[in-house]
Amino acid sequence: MTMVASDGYQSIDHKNLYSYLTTLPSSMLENLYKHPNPCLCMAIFRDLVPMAQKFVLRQLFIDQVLPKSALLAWITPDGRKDHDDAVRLLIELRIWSEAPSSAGLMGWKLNEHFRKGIQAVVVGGGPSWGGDVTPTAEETTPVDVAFLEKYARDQWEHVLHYLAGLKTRQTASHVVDVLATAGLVRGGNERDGGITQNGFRFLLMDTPSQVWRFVLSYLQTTQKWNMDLIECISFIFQLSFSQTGKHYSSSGFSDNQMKMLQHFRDYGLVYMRSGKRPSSRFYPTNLVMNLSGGASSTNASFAEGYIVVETNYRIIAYTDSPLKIAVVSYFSEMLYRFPNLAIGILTRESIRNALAKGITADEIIRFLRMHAHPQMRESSPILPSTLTDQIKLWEMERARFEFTDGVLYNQINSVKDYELLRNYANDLGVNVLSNNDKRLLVVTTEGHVPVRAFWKRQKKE
Amino acid sequence: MAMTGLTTLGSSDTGAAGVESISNILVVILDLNISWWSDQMESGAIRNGVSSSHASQQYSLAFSLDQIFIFLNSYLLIQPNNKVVVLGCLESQSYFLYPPTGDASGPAINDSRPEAFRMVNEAVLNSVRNILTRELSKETQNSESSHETVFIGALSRSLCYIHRLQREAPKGQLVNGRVLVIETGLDSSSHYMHFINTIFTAQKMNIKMDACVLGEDSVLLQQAVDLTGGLYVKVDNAAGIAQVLNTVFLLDADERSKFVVPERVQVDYRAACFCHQKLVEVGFVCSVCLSVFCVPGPMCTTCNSVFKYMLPQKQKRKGPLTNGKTAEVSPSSQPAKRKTGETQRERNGNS
Amino acid sequence: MVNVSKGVLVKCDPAMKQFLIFLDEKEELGKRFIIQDIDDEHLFISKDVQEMLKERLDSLMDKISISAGIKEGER
Repeated sequence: MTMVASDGYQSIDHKNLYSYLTTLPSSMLENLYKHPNPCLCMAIFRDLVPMAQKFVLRQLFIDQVLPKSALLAWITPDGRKDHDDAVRLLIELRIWSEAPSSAGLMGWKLNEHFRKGIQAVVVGGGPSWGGDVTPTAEETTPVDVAFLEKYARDQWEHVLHYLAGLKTRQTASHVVDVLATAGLVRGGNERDGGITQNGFRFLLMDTPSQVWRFVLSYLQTTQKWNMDLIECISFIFQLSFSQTGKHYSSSGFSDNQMKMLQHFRDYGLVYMRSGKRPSSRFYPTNLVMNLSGGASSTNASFAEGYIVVETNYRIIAYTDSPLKIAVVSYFSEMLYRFPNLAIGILTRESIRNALAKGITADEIIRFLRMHAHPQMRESSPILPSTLTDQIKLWEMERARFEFTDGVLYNQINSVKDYELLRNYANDLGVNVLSNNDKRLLVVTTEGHVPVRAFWKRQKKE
Repeated sequence: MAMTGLTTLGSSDTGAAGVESISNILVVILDLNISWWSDQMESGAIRNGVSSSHASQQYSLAFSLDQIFIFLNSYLLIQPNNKVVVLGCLESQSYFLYPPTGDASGPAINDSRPEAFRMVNEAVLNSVRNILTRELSKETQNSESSHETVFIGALSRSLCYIHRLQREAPKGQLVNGRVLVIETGLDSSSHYMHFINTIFTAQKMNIKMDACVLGEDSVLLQQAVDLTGGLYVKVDNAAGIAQVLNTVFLLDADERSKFVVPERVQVDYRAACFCHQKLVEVGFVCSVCLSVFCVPGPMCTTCNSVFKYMLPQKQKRKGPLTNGKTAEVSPSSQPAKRKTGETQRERNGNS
Repeated sequence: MVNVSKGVLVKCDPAMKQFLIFLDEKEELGKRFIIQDIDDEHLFISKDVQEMLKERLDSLMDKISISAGIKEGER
């Protein structure tokens, strides 16, 4: 959860609070840390890489600037690379800033507001978080956790239905807006925007990642609706640290927050009773609580698995939900359909179609593993390794060639000339390939111009 | 693109081995030795050079508990999958402080800590309060309590608890356990056997044992740390525990190779003899069951094998004992005796 | 004297490289396209055949693949 996704995805990062925050202007980040509610600091802290977390904790109670040399003395050579990554992360999030220490050396200063936020969480004694749990006596029919989970699931599935193009019921326009901002559907104005490549990959993700991605693009859309971003972010995190099954009072909330509550109700993040009187009580559901990373999500999804994968490449989905069957049909060929199950088969064509749509083999495998039927989990590994390997092989088939445009220099007669050219290309960083035996050199098309100019100068001398 | 070996295809992510999620358990064993804590309050100030007016508060149990709470909260903050269990040991009894057994309620304070952290802190605080009030009321009748701490009970209970969590975890969840002992009192060698057995169990379960020692150096804990691959730190100033705990004991298994950690201490591996429970350097070892004795006897009390001593002249022929540490006493049997006789004859023949 | 040629560097496994050499010798793509054979895994070819090459590769892979699980009836 904490690592930055480095698989080269374009805009569909999973659970990536970090990448979103780095797009915000630094003044906004400062204001976020300053917010009296430390839940945002806590969420960001949880999202840091472990080494960065340890650095911050060690510095938490030391008021002075930490000299860079002292920091390096904490690390063994093995940890050097992680150290560099951690330092870069902390700087980009404005948690650390460079400052001279008392001895005059350059060092790292911990952001004061961030420090106070984390101290408040770990030491206590500060003001309590908003949304006090004050159970009012008029709760005639209390809402239990199972109901909340079902409600959340149903609402979220409706969002996914819209994405998958299954028209079940009218979808609110703000849902479409958010999906469009996320790049999951095409065209914001037309209600019939089709699903995009990223949309396919989104459908294959696990629910907590989906919710995360959705909330992040919701935050981006709030700017279009002229809502205060900081208030939105802190409200979301405040909700994410609430307790299961407890209800909170919404009296005293600002207009923005009430608007957000209405939106979240449509996504299944909170539940409010509908009725003549607008209710002032709301229940956060497990979907929103998973935003700050909850372990409970994995356990729930274990029990809900519905896919059995056989070694003869057949996939049996024990479900009748059109959404689930639609998702499975993205990468398999559907054979039979029964009232309680659907049977498909993984073929080279079906996988290649999925790959052409932009879905990667890893996503398909992760999806199958996540939704595997509880009985599949008895065996280890969960999915037959023949299948996982074959899916990866089919993906690798498409990548047998690697093309790089370039310019070839051959028939270089003297070794000295060759080495001269090669070193110059290396210095410029345009050397694609060099072969010392045959005295060949390939440079990029952009690099060709300076190298040619260099060669002409050399020949004149 | 070169086709890499197929063995690398499936094994890259943890999912292939059936592991979907990892949860970490930290068991903290807190030494509630009454004599030590009361001594600390009185003399801690003097020892650590702090002016006596603010002194006693800083070294009190309550203050140290707050520091430990900071450490526990930091641990819980790092990852949502981290869980904490706290045990306390007192007068050779061990108690579960968190999750609490029995009544651990107290005034509920709502502050800036998340509810999960607050629950842990308050449960531990209230449990300690209840236990100590109970103990101290009994104290007036008994003599002064011992300075030694027996934590073997708490240790074995923590291993059992971790094992139970591992068994109860849903399929696909890997539970990693770690034990941290915060010891204040002195070592008691009375349960050395059980202690060593527990350490070996921890080794088998791949559970690291860490030790944070506030009082005198503890040989037992040093051995435990050395055998399981944990970390050992002796804290001189009890007022600064939080920083030490946060710096050293938050590191998990991979991070210990990336951070500079306290060096491995030279461990005193003296065994305790089976007859008197004294630590011995040179002693007698039964060659059947390897139990250690400080004085020679006619038979081994553990395996009931009879010793027969070798006669002095034959020992001289064989030469000085090459092994400097222990003198071996072997149970006699006819074949062995004959063998020495034969070698003698051979030597006689060859010389 | 240095010879300069513009084109595309292709990186592939040795088996694929032999396939490319075959296509080149038999002029299956209409003309010879390999400018330089660099080593076991690299070739330098002319740019215009790049698309045709991908199609030929796909059809080759289709020819040598057998799909499992034939539907009842035909495939």
